Amino acid sequence: MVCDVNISPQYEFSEEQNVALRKARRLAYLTIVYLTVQASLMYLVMGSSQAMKTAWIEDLLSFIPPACFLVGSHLCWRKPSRNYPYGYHRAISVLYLCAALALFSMGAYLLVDSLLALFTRDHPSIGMQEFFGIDIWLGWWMVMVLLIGAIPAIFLGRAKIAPAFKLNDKILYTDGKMNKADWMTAVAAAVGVLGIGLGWWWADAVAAAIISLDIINDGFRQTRDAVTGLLNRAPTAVDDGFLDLPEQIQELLNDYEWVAEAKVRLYEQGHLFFGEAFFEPRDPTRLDAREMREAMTRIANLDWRLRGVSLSVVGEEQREENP
Amino acid sequence: MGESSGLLCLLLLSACDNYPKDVENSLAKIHERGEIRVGLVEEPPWVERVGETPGGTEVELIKQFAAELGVEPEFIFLSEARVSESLKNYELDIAAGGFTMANPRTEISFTRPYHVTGDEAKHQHVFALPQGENALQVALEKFLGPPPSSASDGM
Repeated sequence: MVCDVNISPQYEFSEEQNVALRKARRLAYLTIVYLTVQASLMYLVMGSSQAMKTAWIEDLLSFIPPACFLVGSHLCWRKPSRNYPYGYHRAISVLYLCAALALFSMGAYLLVDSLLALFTRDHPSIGMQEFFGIDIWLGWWMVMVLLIGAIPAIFLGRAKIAPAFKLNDKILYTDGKMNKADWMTAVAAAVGVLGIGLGWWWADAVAAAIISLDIINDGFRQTRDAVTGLLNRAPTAVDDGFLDLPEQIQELLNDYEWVAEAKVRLYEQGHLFFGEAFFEPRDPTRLDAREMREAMTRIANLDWRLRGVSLSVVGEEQREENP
Repeated sequence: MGESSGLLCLLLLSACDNYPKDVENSLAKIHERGEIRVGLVEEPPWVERVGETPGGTEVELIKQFAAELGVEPEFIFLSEARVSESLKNYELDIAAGGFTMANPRTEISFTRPYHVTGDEAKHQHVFALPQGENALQVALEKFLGPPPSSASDGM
């Protein structure tokens, strides 16, 4: 009889998570539709306003996180194979880095662009514009497009947070932050345009610079989390902060009388956590496979994200070497 | 209630009246001076020069605009480079010279097209202004009216 040793069990989402995943995908598609409409409208009323042009380029950058999420959410469920024994979960981690970098780039671009505008003392000119037979100052059209356009971003950003936690999906979380950055820059640009109308040529640059700092802060934190995640740092929560799962597993193992001491290391692979639990047995000649299997099941039950944790026996050699 | 809403309308209207504003107060200074400083680049039939007398379709438009503002136009013929430099330094209020949307200068502002003979940028005629003088630009663009739709107007 051939024993089926499964080196990389395929993890399936729970029904509740699948509902959240479907919702998240719908939100991502909605975001792409929304950004397409917004970017086209923005292009029409852009004029020579640097602030509007910047807001438009940011719209283009905003396409990256939802696209990353959609690619990742399909790719990561490919079945593990001989050549990809760990499955494709890490695709999420790589795409997370892309999304986080897009967010960071957006903040950095906004800051450099607004500082340059202040430095070169750009005086934005905004004239008249007729749409639908209404001939008014183009600034009013800009404010209208910016503010109406910002409303969906507020709701999209908020709606993504709950599924992001449920799925432990950091791309989705970053995408939500991107939506927040979108509506904040839109409001800043609108304030800037109104300021220009008051004769304050520096208004939109200053408003943009202030907002950019908040986006850079978000973008930097996410990018750092993504990069260090690829270095196999211990798992962090979706919204930052280390999880105490390694300690929980250690405690669980230390409670077994056949364990002298246990040490656990974990790392992230997309939604999931992989790693090793090393333990030194009290008596190396007496290890019960059934008890070890039971311990592994209990570890897996600690958290749904714990899917690739293996048990490793250590200690014997060191003891023999010591007199 | 009717009175208060009427008052609100009045407030909004008066707010709109001096909005948007100029950064360098060009429009207010034109009124103070009683004179609008116009830079011209010779480019028939838009801007013509007969002796020292300026003529041409764009010169006529500027004269009408000045009359609407209740000020006198003060014309000066210059090269395009000098016109651009003077606008940049707010030494001129407006410039004409057969400029089109195809003009590559970025240090000055252009009005929306007031005369269109084709779809390309070089067929869309504009006036030049200093940058950031949005009250002046809005006043001029209101005077010139919305851009005519190209083909139907041309033919």
